[in-house]
Formats: sequence, C-alpha cells, structure tokens
Amino acid sequence: MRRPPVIIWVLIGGLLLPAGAALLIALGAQTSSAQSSSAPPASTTAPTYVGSETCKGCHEDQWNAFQSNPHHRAEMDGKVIADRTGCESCHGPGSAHAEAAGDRNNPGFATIRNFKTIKPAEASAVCAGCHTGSEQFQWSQSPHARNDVACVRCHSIHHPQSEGGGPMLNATDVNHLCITCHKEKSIALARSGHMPLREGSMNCASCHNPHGSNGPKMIRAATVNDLCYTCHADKRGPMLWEHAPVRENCLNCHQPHGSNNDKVLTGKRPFLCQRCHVGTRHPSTLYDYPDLVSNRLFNRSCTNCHSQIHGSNHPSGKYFLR
Amino acid sequence: MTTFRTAMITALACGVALVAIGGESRAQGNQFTIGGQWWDQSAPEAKYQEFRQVPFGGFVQSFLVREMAGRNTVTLWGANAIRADQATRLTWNNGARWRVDLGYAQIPHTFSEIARWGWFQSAPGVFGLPDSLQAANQRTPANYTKNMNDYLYSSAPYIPLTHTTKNTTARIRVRPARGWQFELKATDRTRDGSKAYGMSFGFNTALENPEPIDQRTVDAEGTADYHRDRLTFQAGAGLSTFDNHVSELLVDNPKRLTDQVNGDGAAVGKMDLYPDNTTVRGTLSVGYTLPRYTALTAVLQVAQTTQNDQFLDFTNNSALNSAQKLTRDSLAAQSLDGKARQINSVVSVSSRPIGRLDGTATFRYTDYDNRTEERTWIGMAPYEATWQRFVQNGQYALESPALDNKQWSTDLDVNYAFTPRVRAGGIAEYHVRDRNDREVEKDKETILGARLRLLPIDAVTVTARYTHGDRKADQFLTDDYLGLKTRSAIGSTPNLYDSLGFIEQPGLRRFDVADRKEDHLISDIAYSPNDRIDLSGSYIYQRDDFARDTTLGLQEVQLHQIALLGVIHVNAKLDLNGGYGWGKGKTFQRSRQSNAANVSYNPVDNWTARINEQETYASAGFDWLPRNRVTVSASYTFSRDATDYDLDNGAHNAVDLPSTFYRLHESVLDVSWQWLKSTSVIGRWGWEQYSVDDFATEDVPLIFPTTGTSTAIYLGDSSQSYRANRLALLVRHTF
Repeated sequence: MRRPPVIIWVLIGGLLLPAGAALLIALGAQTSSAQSSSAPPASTTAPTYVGSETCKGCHEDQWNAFQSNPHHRAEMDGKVIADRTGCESCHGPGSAHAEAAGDRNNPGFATIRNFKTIKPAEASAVCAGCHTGSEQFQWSQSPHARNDVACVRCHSIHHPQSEGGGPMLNATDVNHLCITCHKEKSIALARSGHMPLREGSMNCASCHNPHGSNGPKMIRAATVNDLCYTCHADKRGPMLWEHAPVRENCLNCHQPHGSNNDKVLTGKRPFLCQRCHVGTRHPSTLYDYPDLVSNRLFNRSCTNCHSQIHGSNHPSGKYFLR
Repeated sequence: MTTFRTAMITALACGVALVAIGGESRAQGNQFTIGGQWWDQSAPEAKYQEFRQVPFGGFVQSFLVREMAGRNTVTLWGANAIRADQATRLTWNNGARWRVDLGYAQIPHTFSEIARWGWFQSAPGVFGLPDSLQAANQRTPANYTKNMNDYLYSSAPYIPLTHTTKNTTARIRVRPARGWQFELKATDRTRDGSKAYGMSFGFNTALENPEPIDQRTVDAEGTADYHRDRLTFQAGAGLSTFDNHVSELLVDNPKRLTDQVNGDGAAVGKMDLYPDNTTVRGTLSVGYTLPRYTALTAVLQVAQTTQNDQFLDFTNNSALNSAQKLTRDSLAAQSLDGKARQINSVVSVSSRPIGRLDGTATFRYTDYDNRTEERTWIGMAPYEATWQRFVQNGQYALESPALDNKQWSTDLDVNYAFTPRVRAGGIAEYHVRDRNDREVEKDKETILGARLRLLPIDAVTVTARYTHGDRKADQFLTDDYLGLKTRSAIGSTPNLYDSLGFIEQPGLRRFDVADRKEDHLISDIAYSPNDRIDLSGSYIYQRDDFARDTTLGLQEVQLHQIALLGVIHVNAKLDLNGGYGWGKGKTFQRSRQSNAANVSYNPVDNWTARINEQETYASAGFDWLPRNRVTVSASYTFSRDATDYDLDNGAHNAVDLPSTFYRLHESVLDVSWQWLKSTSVIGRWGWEQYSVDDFATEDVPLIFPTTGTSTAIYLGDSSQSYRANRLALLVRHTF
C-alpha cells in the first residue's frame, strides 16, 4: 500500500494555520487591539496608579490575605517579574476608584477591572500577562479557554480554599473543583476499580493540565501512552512481541477514570478479549454458565495464561505467555 | 528513604534559619492534627485499604508549617506521616525569583490480604517446590489434583500481595531576569512489593504467582522559558530511565521434576519480565500573540526510546532444547536492540477577530517510528512443552514486527455569540491514523459537531455539545488479518493455516480499527441564582456503532449518564451538598465458536453477548455550626453497579453468566469542639459497607477446579464483602 504523504499534510497544516491566523487578524485589524479591550473602562479623567496601600483603606481583608498570597512574592521582586505588581497589576489603575470612596454612582467607581463582571477572555488575558509560559503555554488553545472558562472560575486570588500552598483553588481540592463541571466523573471515580484519586494520592491534575497541553483532552503528554508511561514505564518497550492495540492506545482496553472491571478495564474478561479475538479453538469459545469451571473464564480469565498482554521480550513470547 | 528524610529536615532547618536571619518571621496559618483511631473490619478484604493505610492507634493526620520573613517563605506540608500513604512537601520561595520544592509521597496498592502461596522463594523471582512433591506428581499424574490440594491447603502460608510506589520529587525554578525562567525537576519513583501474575505450563495448567516487583523509574527534565512582549519561547530536554531489578521469573512446574518434550514440558519455567528502557526527549515551543486575542503556538518534540535487554533462551526445557538442537545461536539475536523514535508536533492558532466570533484551529502530528530491526525466528516454545516451527515455502516465517504508527489530526472550533445570551459554535475534526502490520493500515475519521450555550435567564446556563464521528478504514488486508505474515504455516505447504489454531475467523473487524459511527452528546444545565445556591445537572449520551461492516466482534456500545450536583450555602451556620448519578451502559458483541482447528463459515456457530450495566451514585454532606465552638460535618457516598451477561447462541441453549454486583456505602461524621482559642478536639466516626458478587473473583480456591482434573493453581485472593467501622479522636492545633 502506498504510504501516505504525511509530510505534505504537515506542510499544508503548518502553512494554512498561520495563514488563517493572518486572515483572522486582518479581519480584526480595523478595530482596537485585544489589550485595549481588556483594559478597565475608560473614564473622563484617566485613572492613575496609586499603590496597594491605598486599597488597604477599604479592602483590608483582601489586603491582609494578599500578604500570604503567592502574588505577594512578585510584589517583592518589583519589575523583575512585571511592570506592576500588587492590587493594580490585576485591577488596573485605582485613583478614580479610590476617589469614588465607595460611591457606586460615581463614574470613577467602576474604572477598576472587576473580575466578576468582565468577559472571561478579558479576565484570563489579565492573568496571561504574566502566566504565559510553562504550564500555561497552551492556555489560549485549551478547551477551557474556548469554552469561556476563565482563570478565576477555578482560582481564587483573594480567598483560596486549598491548603498547603496549593494552586489557590476555589474548592478544597482539585478533584472537587473539576467535578463541579465534569459531574459525570464523580460516578466514574466512585467505581470499584479506580485510580487513587479518592484516597488523595492522585488528582485530576496528575494526568490533565487544565491550562491546556500539547496532547488530546489536555493530558500532560503528547499521547495517551506517553502519559501512562509516566507511572507505568515498565510498559514502554519497545518489546520483541508487541500487542498492537496496546502500542497504539492504552485506552483501547483501560478506562482510567474508573471501571467496575478489574484493572480498570473497559470490559470484563474474557469478553473484552473476545471483541478482537475470535480465532479457532479457545479464543472464540462461548464461556457461559457451565463453563465457570474453565480457567479461561474464572479469576483473571485470559490473562491467567496470557499475562504478558502488554508485550513480551521473550523469544517464545509471541502469544504473550512468556 | 532515611537519607531523603534527613535531607528534608536539614533543608527545613536551613530554610527556617535563613528566614529567621532574613528578618522578623511571621507564621501563617500553621496547624497540625494528631490523634488516635480504632477500627474493625468484618472480613479482610483488600478494598478497604487498597490505596491507603487506615491508621490504628496514634497517628498524624496532617501538618502545615509556613514561615515568612522578608523575601523568604518556607512551607512544610504533610499528611499521613509515617504511614504507608504518607505525603510530605517542602517549598521554599525567595520572592518570585526562585523556588525550591521537595516532595515525598507513598502510594500503597494492596491487592489482597488473604493470598496463599505454596512455592518458596530462594532468590527474587526464583520459586521452588519440594522435589518430592514434583516427583510424586510426575510419577502418578492421576494424583496431581489431590497431592496439590493437600499440599497447598496444609502448607501454603499467607503472603502479602501489595506493592508501594515511593515518589521523591525535586524542583528548582529560577527567574533570574525579566522574562526568563529556568526549571529543573526530577522524580525518583520506586515500586516494590508483589502482585499476582499468571504463567502456564503446557496447554492446561495455569499458575498464579506473586511476581516480585522491584522497579525504579527516574525522570529528569530541564526547561527554559523566555517571554518578551508578544513572544514566548520554551525549550526543554528530558531523560527517563526504567530499571526492573527482577527481570525474570523461574518457577517450578508442579507436574514435573524433570524436563519432558510435549506433555507438561519443563520442570522449571522461565518468564521474561518487563525490560529496562530509556527515553530521551527534547521539546521546542514557540508562542506569539497578536491583537484580537490572537495566539499562535507551535510545539515540536522529538523523543527516542531504547531497550536492549538480553533475550532469554527459547525455553528452559533442556529436553526440548536437546530434541530441537536449540542453542543461544538459534536465536535471531541476543538482544532486541530496540529503538523507537517519536515526533510530536502541534501547531495551533486561536483568535477573536471580531468581538462575537472566536475560533481555534489545531494541527497535531504524532509519529511513533519503531526502528527496531524486524527479525525472522525459527520457531518458539510458547509454554515450554512443544516446539512450534514456522516455515512457509521452505523458509522460516516467524517474523517479529516492529509496530509503528502515525496519527495526525486537524481540528477547527468556531463560536459565535448571537446575543449575550446565545452562543453557538461548530466543531470540525479530521483524524488520520496510519500503522503497519495490521489488517487496517490506515483509517480516517471525520467528526462534525455543534455547540450551544444559552442563558435564558440570569441564573440559568444551558450548554450542549453534540458530535458525530464517522471512521472508515482505507482497506482491509486479509493476509495481515489472518496473520499469514507472521503465523503462516507449519510445514512447507504454502498458505496452509497454522494447524495449532488461533486462526481468526472471517467477518471480524476489531473495534479499535473497525469502521465506526459515533454519536456523542453532552448537555448541562446550571442554576445559580446567587452566591448561596449552585445546582447543576448533566446528561451524556454516547453510541458507537460498529455493525455496518462487522459480522463478528464488537457491534455496538451505548451509554447514558445523568449526573446532578448541588451546593447550598443555607446560612452562615449551614452548608449542604449533594450529588446523584445514574448510568446505563450496553455493549453487544458477536463471536463464532470453532473448537476445531479449521475456521467455521456456519453462522449457526455464532454466539452473542449483551452486557448490560447499570450504576448509581449518590452523595450527601453538610457542614453545620449548631452552636458557638461546635462544628458538625458529615458526608455519605453510595455507589452501586449491577451488570447482566445475556448470552445466546445458534442453538439457543447458552446459559447466562451470573450477574455481577458491586456496592459501597461510605460515611464519615466529624464533630469538632473548639476547646481553646487555637485548639480543637474532633471526634470522628467512619462507616463503610462493601458488597461484591462476582463469579470470577469470589471464592477463588488454591487449586481449580476443586473437583475433577485441575487446570489452575491460584493465590486464593478472593474478593469479599465487608463492613468496617472506625472511631477517632483528634486534636487540631493552630499556631
């Protein structure tokens, strides 16, 4: 069979995407820039920066909380981290807001950036001003950003609920935060076969980067298998005898969010195996009730013998028996 | 371990000292919680402590020490200290300039507390039986079942079937100048203990052994980030090594004291365990932002994995080696010299060109290029009794393929806000997968979908996302399907199928490469009228239809799920939370029975399995302050799964397998009394009830079947129902 011209597609993709971007930008070039759209509302007199100490006058609780906040550290390092640090680095210049002295009818009151009312993309753009590399490198392309899930939906800057220097979450821990939207995962995590999320040894962010990633489903690796090999490097191979669906995708057989089958398998053995193996003799045998005495149905079923199912490096291991 | 703890304590001491030198220190929310606990469990089922250690007696639940002085902040956090599931993390920040993290965590995984095993281990992975027993079984095979039954039930001791993963992590992050960030991180992951592992002798003897696990994985990675104005640049390099310190299993055959050709085979069987491997990788990433929230990112990652463990011999059976004249030189190579290169790249652009329109386009490419040499083997001894020679047209024909695969996809996701309350979008994806040595070498999938978000009133958000995927194989390669390339014929007759069986029957399409239509709907409604009430519910539907071209194999998978979640902040003294989930899954698969060597073309031999699974989940909890200084909190979780196995065949005499059933009730009640200003006393009662009914894992005997001719020896690690209660008294002190 003729090999696909993958390189051609790589080139086409590599060229079309930037071209598309340029087109999109051109369409938007006639209007104001993103930076201006995320700026605080305009005022008749342009507000100026007044410093965090001014904010403390009315917002003492927030100011005190900020002193133990990771963002306070940026304040210590001044311009090494950003042009501005402290309250106004996120909320914008506060002179007009301060002059309004709590009077909501004063036009100056609303000149600071209020993260509860601005659009999600605008809110996240403020955070992205500093958090642009490392974990957040793929934020703008992430499904969360696409679905208008702003940073402040998950992170609480002033009153985080997470303890122990965690990532300032709006919930007591990562798992509780994620299931507020991904509710169906609470069913999966409660299944008999599960990874140690309920016990706290892992959490959703152990495998997923909620800020976006290079892989599908925001996983912390380029492919599913690469992610699984992080903890299960024994399966990484390459092996002499490989099991093709194992090599392509661990999810062909495993359901990592939880399963009522042993080893978080997507189906009970031998039925899972028999979805692909209908060979003559025992692979295709109907194991029904009288066959409970068969070692091909009982206990570990097919893997009672074919235990090297992830691949074998034994010269006689083609059938994953050795 | 001791070294690590010493290092951590030293680091902490140094940190605290530096903080003190740096100026007046301030404590921030420090606390510890310690206490004592008593518990009982009605049956020793491993599920209770599968991934944790439930403490008995005195224990440390958690501690947090955070000291700040000037630019320095040192945080020491820990949970479950000195227990099998302990976790400790030390963080030291110097402003935002640099940060050091050290962590240590253990994850126990207990499989069984009632396993019994009759072999003895003379060295890691070397399992022996009394020679007299092997001799007796060899001399009088008819007494094998009785001999082993008597021996195992009288002599097999209980053994731990558990392993522990110990993760030690270190990370240093430095921001030396504006826009620059460097990070070095390393993880040392060791895993030791044992787990059940199967092995076979001959065609009808399965043995379950406690595979000794002594593995180590070390990962190290360095990244450099540069950010200036619109440009972000990231470069990284990493290394990962895996070492398996027990690389083979040597197990005495209970049926033989001496080697034999055919029959029960070798006196001692040898299995190859997972080989050592090493991966190196490098990554380059570039991001550029433009006006209108436009961002371009491109990532290129190159990795190479190598594996070169020495091959074992074809068999440990000296009689077979002698009969077939097998030596080390008979192997096609002495080691694999395996090499797989992987390239991953992602190019993505996202933008909001006009206020209401946003879109993202992503191109992903992954190439797993297995550069291991494909070798031709003269045959094999799959269970160390019988030699299987693979010859076709007079040539050896057993080839070890180097499986590789390529996958690429383009995704386009566009949304338009028609009004502030109505936002709709479209999804278009195209996926191509390309592989070698399989019946489908290339398949393509088109996914089209729509997304909608409505805000009918201020307090309500409704979202829905529907996609339809259509995957099609380019062509079906019958020779690869039948395994002619590697399985071929025994003897010299061209295209005579392997007389040993394992020939796939016509009509099967394996589900991972079969043509498939997939419908997926996820919808959600959320009601949040104010800061005190959050109610939401979701419905998920998925249907995978393989039946179009598939006679045998997986035909259909269907899933419905409903999930509800509610959090109500009733007042300053009472918070309520609850959740409910319900799911129904159906799979339908068809196979064709053929007990003879030859394939069956008769649909009367077909049989089907309809597997219907229904699960329920519920949770409820509250936090209540009934009076000053007293806090009561409770949580309850319930999960239940029932699965039916509806079997049918051409003669309609198939008998359904018994249904399987899992149920877990879990509840915890905490009553906390603030005794002193900084000290609280907590009383805790925990209750669990686990019920299991599974034909495959209940009442696992040591020898199976218990009557007639036995075909397996197991570890007896049955799953069991249990009930457990625990009572704890804790003290939490803040300082």
